[in-house]
Amino acid sequence: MLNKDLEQTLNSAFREARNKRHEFMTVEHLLLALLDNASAADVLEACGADIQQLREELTKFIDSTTPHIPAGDDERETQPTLGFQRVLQRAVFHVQSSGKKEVNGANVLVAIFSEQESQAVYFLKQQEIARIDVVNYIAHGISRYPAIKVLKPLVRNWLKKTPTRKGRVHVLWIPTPST
Amino acid sequence: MSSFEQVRLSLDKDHPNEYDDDGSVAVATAKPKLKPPPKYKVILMNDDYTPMDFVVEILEQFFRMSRERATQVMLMVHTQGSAVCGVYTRDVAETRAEQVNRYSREHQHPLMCKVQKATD
Repeated sequence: MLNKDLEQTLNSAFREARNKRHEFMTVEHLLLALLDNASAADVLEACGADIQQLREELTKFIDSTTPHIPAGDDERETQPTLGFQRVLQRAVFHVQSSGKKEVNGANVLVAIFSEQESQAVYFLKQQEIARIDVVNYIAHGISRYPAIKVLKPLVRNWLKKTPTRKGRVHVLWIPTPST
Repeated sequence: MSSFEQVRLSLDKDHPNEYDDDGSVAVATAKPKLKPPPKYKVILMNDDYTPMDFVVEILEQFFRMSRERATQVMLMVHTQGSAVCGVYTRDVAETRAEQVNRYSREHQHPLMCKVQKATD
């Protein structure tokens, strides 16, 4: 059901949460783990994500908001939150209904976007990554938008340097250079 | 809204070719700013069947309160009908409430735990 890579990603995320004595494994833990999943990271990069920044923001948020299991408490185990389970379930349903056998990291990334009022989604949106960008890339591959990978980080840097131009610049506005 | 459009119109008149450079003003109203997601309160509701010491146990176990603090909050649930036990992200709050409700049912108590968006 879950492919090998994704299973490893989830296992290492769980180990990490348990080592830090986090009481819950949240959607943010999931997104953080996906940054090291080849299939999900590939999609994020293609959508122009700043992986390093995501990693820092997620780590900081997780460490500051996740309840800890008190040191003496050996009965309590780290457990996935309802949101975490919903995301995985959505990914599995989607893959089953599209007739595929295995869920990969990219499928899980798409499923994260449907979480309501989630910090993980907020961090993605802050980087101007929308669900449509992600599914567009998964569905049609990089050959369809060859300029995104190169241009989106460039545009972001340019935006940082020109503070008067705030707001979202949609990457599809950029003319594609002839290749 | 209308006064803002007047401002823009006058800008257009003064600098017919430069309105694009004044993008900061136009963009600020066109795009709602991305807001961080709200936090959620976990609330315990009063009922006439759940024993007081079970509520205290819940507050100690799931909300890490001291015996004293747990007793205070339990009495607040009892006298005011409900009390806030903690504030978390929505995901954690929902999971926490579900955890408490499951534990209560397992122990045959109807204690009800809910979540509510924190408004501030």
